[in-house]
Amino acid sequence: MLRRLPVLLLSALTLAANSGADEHLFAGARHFREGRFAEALVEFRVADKLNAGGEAAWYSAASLVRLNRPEDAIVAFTEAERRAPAMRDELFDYYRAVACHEARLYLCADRLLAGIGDRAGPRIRDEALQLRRRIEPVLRGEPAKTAIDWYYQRAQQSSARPLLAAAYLAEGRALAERRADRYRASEASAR
Amino acid sequence: MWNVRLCMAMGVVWLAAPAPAAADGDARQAVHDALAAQLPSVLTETRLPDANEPDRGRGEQGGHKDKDKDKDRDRDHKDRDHDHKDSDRDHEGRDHDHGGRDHDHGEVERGDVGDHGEIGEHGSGAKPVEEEHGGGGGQQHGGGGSHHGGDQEDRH
Repeated sequence: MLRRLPVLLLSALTLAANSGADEHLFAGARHFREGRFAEALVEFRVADKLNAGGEAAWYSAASLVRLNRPEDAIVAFTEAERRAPAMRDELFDYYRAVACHEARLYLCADRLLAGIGDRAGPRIRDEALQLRRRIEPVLRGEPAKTAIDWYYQRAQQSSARPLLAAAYLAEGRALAERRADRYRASEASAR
Repeated sequence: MWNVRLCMAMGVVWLAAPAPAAADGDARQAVHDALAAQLPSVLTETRLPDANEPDRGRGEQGGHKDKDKDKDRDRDHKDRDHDHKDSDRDHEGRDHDHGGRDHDHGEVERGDVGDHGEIGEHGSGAKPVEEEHGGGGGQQHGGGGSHHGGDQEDRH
């Protein structure tokens, strides 16, 4: 019996931590709903620290989108997906697509928006459709070489943040593939 | 003796989490509802960038000079005017104001856990965002972001 005591106490502590995380999730939800995104971000990050499940990482990423920090959001979403892939849904995909758009990762945004279907509900679906319509003309035709150069430059400038650099590099490579001459496409693959 | 200890341990478990599964689901739903209620929209023009226009790039988040952004900034100023009248609006405006500027970024990130005083000591950054959340009320009141009303502090 005595041997089981530490296990029970550990369970109690774990459950207490989860309960504490919930408090911060509720507080974060309240802040978020009322437009206090910086405060919501703090709450979600505390919840994330208290509960290693990773779900709060998605909420933090969404907060970064609302704080107009698209590059931070892109990194945060990538990490959230790595930690808690099952949490991904259409709502997060929409937030992530907006982050991609704001970082000029239009192919990334379009790919995410394309996956948002009826399951997301009419409002998110309509917003996604609108944003796709906005992006579509930009992706029509061959991208300019100077556009591809820009993405490679951004990748280089973001080298201290590998996830972000990878996002820019992937975008540049995907755009390069859209050109008949595949301008710098092989260069991206070589990196 | 063992039975007494076991009962005590079980009591701790029960007190710590009366209905953990339900609470967890509720919290998740509350956040999802909040996120759905505050869907973001794009703030910048949709245009492929050009390496020959260095300032067109986002640079360090939000450090661009898009016309759209300038408009946003104008809007921010209006928001800020609003802010003085209403501290809740103040926060909305300020979020826009952040515009992803770098000096704002670290404010939330640095010592964010400590800010709450939940599981760490108070962050010593004493930046406005941290101050609002800081467990250390003294800093909240003392630091007092220049345009922040007291009711945010009261809430904490």
